[in-house]
Amino acid sequence: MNKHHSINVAIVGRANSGKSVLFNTLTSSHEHTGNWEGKTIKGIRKSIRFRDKKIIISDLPGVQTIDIFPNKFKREHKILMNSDIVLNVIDSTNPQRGLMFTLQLIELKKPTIIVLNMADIAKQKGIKINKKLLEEITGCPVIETVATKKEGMTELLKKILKLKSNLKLPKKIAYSQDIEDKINKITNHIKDIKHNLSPRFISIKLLENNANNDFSTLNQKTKQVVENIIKNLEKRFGYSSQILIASERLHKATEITNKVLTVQNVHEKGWKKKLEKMTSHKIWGYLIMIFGLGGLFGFTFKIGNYISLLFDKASSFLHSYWNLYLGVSSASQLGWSALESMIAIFQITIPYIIPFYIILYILEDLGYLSRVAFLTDSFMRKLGVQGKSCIPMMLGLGCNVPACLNCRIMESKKERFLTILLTTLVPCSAVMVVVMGLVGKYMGLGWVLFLYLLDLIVIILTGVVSSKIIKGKKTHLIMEMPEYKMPHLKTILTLTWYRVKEFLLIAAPLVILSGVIIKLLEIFNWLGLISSILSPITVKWLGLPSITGILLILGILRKELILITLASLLGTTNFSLVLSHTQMITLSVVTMFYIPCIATISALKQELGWKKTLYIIIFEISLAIILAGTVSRILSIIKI
Amino acid sequence: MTILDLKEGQKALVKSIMAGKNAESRLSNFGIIPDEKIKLIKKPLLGAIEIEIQNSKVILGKGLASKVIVTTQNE
Ligand SMILES: Nc1nc2c(ncn2[C@@H]2O[C@H](COP(=O)(O)OP(=O)(O)OP(=O)(O)O)[C@@H](O)[C@H]2O)c(=O)[nH]1
Ligand SMILES: [Mg+2]
Repeated sequence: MNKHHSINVAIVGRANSGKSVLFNTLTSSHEHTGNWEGKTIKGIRKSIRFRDKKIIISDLPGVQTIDIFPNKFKREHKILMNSDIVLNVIDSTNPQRGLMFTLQLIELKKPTIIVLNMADIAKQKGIKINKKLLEEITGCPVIETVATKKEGMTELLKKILKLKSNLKLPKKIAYSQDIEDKINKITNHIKDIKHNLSPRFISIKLLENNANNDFSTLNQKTKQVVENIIKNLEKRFGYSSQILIASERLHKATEITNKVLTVQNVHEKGWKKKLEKMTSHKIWGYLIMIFGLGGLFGFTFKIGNYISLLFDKASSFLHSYWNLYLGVSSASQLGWSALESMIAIFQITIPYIIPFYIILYILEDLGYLSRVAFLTDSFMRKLGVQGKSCIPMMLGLGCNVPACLNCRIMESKKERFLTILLTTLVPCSAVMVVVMGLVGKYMGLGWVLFLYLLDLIVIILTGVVSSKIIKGKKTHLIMEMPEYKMPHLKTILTLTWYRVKEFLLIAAPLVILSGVIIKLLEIFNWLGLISSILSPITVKWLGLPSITGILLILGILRKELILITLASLLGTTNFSLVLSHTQMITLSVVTMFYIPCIATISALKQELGWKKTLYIIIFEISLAIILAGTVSRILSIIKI
Repeated sequence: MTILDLKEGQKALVKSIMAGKNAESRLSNFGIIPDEKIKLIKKPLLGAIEIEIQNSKVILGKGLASKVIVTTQNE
């Protein structure tokens, strides 16, 4: 593509301002969104056409500051620096916060469009922003949007074209005289240094002197000058230069906000305030968390079971017709078992994962995950991590793969590794399918909750022990507490649908593949052989039928396959035919822990490298074998 | 006293930050700098603390909160 014909646009701003929703709306994508800060973990680009122009839009992770030589987000930094136009998304309900970031873009002298997003919530709160005045002060075009409702999108695209054809730089916004003097002094000193950033931006960063920037390339003389200026300044004001600059920005942002913002007192919706109070209350907060999560599984169980039973009926109805018309020859049985494996997907997986994802996404979009982080921070520190770790762990209940990637929100290496380790112990929706389909269906919800409790205890113990073994830095939690938002139903349903679609696309071929493998093994008489390799563990130690050996091997591909393949081998989902209650629990415990699935393993490898991934795998296999064997023994003693 | 010593609902003024550069920079990104008014909202036993500062709510771990020196306004 000819460079002159395309426009590079970068979406930036503080976390949780709606950047990814805006990106999704502009480019019809389905990137992860939700009401907590730090969802977007890496920059994503997509190009669109608008009025015969190619516009390449990049969604970037939310940040609070722009660094010159960042050690995190190097690629993203490049995208921002190489963009023609910057869309600075601001949460209209709290423009002062957003403007603290905007001021840095202005220092950077990038053509910027200020996007006042979430205009709908601002309106509900009686917040009005004088766009014209803001435009005058900053020199940047200003536009109001409601990204979730696609409001303001055409106008935004028009503004992009207009700004591109008539490039306008932001106005300089001056800080206090003292600081400006110092900035000018430094600017004079770095005049000769070639750099693609604005000298003012660099000067301010030098003055700020914070740990994220590396100035080792600077020549000795300039360094000395800067150091002296900083020393001088700090002596005069009694604060570090970093705080002085932050305070300058804060005051400027407040000053601008006071000028452009008017608030009429409108009656705010009471449910949010009430819910906010309740869910972070020192007693109610914890009770709601426990019952809320219990409710998540209870609800999934009830709905899932109901639908699953309907499918069971349909399937046995179908089976009797099958037998009636095709007879009960071995060929017809083979055909049926192939069909059954496909039906089993609908019988045992879909009914559970749909309600489950809907609720998980509702919690995420509502803003509940940050409350969990808040309520558990001190407790999580005892596990070597911090409150923020709860967020990937909660996401892990859905799928471990994105959850492990989201562990990048952890700031220190140690915390990231520990959070990933704990996240892989979280039972994902595939494990849930096995647990619900076996234990839930034949033994009741109580036993399901028992298994989840057991998992929780294992996670706590693993955290406590490994935090003692693994050395490294601990960081403290700090993040914005998002206000509750009415979950956006359409987004939630779309995200759920994408999950299900992805599942069907990946699972269905695997189901067929594993069906074929099993049949081939059966034909060549290897089924018993392969199963018997594992039988010292499966049969002798765990007390499971020997066939589970092959199921567990297939389960590494996807854990649902354990149940689906069993269904296709049996020709029915009535698992109580082959498994006793104790065996159901034992198999579930093994499934919960024995190994991360192949997709998770590859995510682990990407995030941690082979060595650590291998540690995790070995740890989890041993854990599963020891734990499941113990549970099986205890259960056979107490005879359930 | 530090933020941690405040009671729920109590207001105070930030005096100084007794922490290294890194913590200082993280706090200042959320507007927690000297001379700013804050209010402690919630302080649950097993959790972090929630404060209100410049019209927004920020949660911070207790370890970090104990590094922010404040004074109550009626002092
Ligand atoms: N009511 C309303 N909600 C919005 C609007 N735009 C975004 N949201 C919600 O705000 C939350 C955050 O949106 P995201 O797009 O994920 O935020 P982000 O800026 O990409 O956040 P990070 O990737 O964490 O930096 C989600 O819950 C959205 O549904 C809007 O215009 N109106
Ligand atoms: Mg995002």
